[in-house]
Amino acid sequence: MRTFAVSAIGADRPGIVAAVTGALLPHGINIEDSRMAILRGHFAMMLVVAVPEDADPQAVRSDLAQVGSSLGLDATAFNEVGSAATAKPASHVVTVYGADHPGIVHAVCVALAERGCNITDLLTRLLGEGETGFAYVVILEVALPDSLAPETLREDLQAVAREQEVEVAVQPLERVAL
Amino acid sequence: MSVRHVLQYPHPSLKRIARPVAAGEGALVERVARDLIDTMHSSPGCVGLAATQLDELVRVVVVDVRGHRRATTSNGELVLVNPRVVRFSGAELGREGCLSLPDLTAKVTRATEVVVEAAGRFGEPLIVESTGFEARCVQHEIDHLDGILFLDRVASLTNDVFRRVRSG
Repeated sequence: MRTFAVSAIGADRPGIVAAVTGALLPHGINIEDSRMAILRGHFAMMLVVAVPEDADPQAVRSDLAQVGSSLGLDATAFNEVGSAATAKPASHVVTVYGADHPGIVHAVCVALAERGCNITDLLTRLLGEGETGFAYVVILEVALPDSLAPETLREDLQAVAREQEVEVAVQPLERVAL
Repeated sequence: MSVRHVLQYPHPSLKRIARPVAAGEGALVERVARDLIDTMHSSPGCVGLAATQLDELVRVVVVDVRGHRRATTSNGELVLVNPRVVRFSGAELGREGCLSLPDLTAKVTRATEVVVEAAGRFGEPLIVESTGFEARCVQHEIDHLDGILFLDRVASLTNDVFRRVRSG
């Protein structure tokens, strides 16, 4: 079995997941991990799938493109991924919030990249208009390199927070064990 | 009935530290407590409110978790003046929201048991032992008095469901 990543993006409507999975199944493809998001009517989905050796990737790609076309999607993709070198799991949660303006996400992510941190999960929201304007919230789960002390990252991000006029917090990631 | 407007972030008062209530401010406490209780009860699902959220920068909070599906224990309707957590234990991750940050929830770690010293609505000394969901609410509201929002304590993104354990 080979591992491929499937992506689909476009305007949301009922039936996308059914149609995409319907294009994959006749090729004997098994869906492993996936994630989907809808933001303000825009749909995006990623699936990691197991593909039998005798499947024809070009045929799959073509079937997906047909689905995309009939649903009016912006794009579909089907590409092999390397054997699962899973990213180092996140160790910290970074939360940033303040009055909204352009540049917040970029400044935070540059600071993280400069220290070799990897973002494993990200959420941002523009919150409804308060009497003093829009609030912006960024929550990231981050893997720190072994050599980086959390306090050093916290200081870097506090400098960014001062420049961007936002609040920042760095917390250890809580793991829930069942 | 005095239902008041709840400040929405990024209103700057939400990041300010409230001042202690002094002796002899009984009339202030009564007015603020009444407004907090009325406003809390007028908002469905609201189980606590801090004076800061009404733009009253004095150390008064109200909590009332009675009837809430997550509440296992309750001390009834609580009015806490100058509250201080004097003992705490345990830790639990749980979802929180806030009327001052509508449409957003996140997972926050809180102590599962707290002991709070405070003055009551009529100036009487109080020692409140609180557990579980009510303890979470008490901690959340006391944070407001110090300009701390639940976003300052987020410990996990809400959609963290399955996590592969890294071996070795």
